[in-house]
Amino acid sequence: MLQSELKTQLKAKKIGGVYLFCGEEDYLKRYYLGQIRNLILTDPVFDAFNHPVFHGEQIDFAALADAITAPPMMADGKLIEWSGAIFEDMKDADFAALEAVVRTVGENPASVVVFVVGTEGMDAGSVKRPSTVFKRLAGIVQAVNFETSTDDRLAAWLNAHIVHEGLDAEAGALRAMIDRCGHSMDVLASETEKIVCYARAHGMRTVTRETVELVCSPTAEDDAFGLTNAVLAGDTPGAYRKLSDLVRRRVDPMVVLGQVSRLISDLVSVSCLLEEGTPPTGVAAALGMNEYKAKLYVQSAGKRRPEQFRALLAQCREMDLASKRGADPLIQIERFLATASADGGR
Amino acid sequence: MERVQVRRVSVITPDAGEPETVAGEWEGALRTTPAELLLTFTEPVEGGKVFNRVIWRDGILTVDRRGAVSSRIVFRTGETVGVDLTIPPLSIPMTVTTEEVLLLPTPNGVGFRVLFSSVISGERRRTEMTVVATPV
Repeated sequence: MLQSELKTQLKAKKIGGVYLFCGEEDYLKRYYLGQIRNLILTDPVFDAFNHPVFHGEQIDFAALADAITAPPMMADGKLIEWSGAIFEDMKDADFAALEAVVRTVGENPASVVVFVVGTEGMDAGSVKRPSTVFKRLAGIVQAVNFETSTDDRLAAWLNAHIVHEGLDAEAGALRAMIDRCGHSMDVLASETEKIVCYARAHGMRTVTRETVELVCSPTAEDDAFGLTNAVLAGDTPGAYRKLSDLVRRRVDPMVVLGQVSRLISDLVSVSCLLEEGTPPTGVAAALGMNEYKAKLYVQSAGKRRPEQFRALLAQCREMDLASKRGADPLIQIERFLATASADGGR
Repeated sequence: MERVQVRRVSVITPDAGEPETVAGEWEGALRTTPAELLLTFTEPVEGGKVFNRVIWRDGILTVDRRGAVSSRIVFRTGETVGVDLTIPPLSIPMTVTTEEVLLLPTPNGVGFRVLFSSVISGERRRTEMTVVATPV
């Protein structure tokens, strides 16, 4: 189901069945869930009966069925929400149970079910190229993938907010805002509030590029390789900080482990080439590597002996094996950073 | 979208060094509207492929690259921007100053010319990049 189809349903007040909200843009999930709540939950006094909210990685299908079959209290409809479920590893039995939920809702049309899933719960892919699990789920429920919006859409959305507040924006100002603040709609919404307050306080009617630069905070987006950069630079405190950022952003620790292993593996190759007498300028060509990347590797490789890199690579291999045997990969990475730091010089 | 042949020629001059010319040619697609031009093409690079998305709008050229090398550079005459050049597993900070960005009139297709200087890891280089898309 496309976001536009959900919008049409809401406009026509024809919400019904089972929905799955997934994808990267949490702001839109919250927005559309709010719209559905406004439509169905008309009296907060009866929320205890008409608005059961569940949270958990494993869906309790029996509890869900109970909530669906209980009729609404003093209202035409009830809304059942489940957040935090992990859909990625669903088995055939879970898909069958989900199909049963859809049938139960069909028999109890006053009940509407909405599953809200974060990126840790499933990889939805993109609207153009949905993931396998999304495709399978979309065959059972009304699944909407809320992708990160494009620059065009974000600019139009920001403009609508600015106009709604009685202001306008000069050409390029809203694009500059996206460039500066990033693509998160949550961040952009709060930055827009700041701009509106500033403009009103100063009697301005037009948001300019200068206003954006003065008022909006710059946001570094998704520093996916900050940890490997810090390891390469021998910046251990920085590496721990970047690891914390990755954990906070719920990046899969195995992905982090893969990045670190790749870095060390590249450094072993560069270090060996340098030891064999390859000139620094010849490393990029010898490894078929980007010139800038090779330069950084050459700088870093000069700080350790090849056997030290080999020892670190052996530790990466051990970390990989231990993680696959069930050890916590995060602890493995923390230990690795400590070792790499202790082993930092000739 | 119209199928096009994309040719890019970059003359790169490091502060301390001789100019080097890097040229390439690939198939791509071009969409033209009264408000903007969108050019897309994929180029092979060391370690994989890069999907390029080039947008011209209001005198501003945005070059968005994704893949084995990722970056998003907004070329606006007279402006300096910070760019994250991502080459997994590293991201390399870069500063780009646009001296001039022009839409080139060509007989059949479209073209852009950008004069800019960039600083990576303390090394500065000046680049004259010309991109021309000709219908196939």
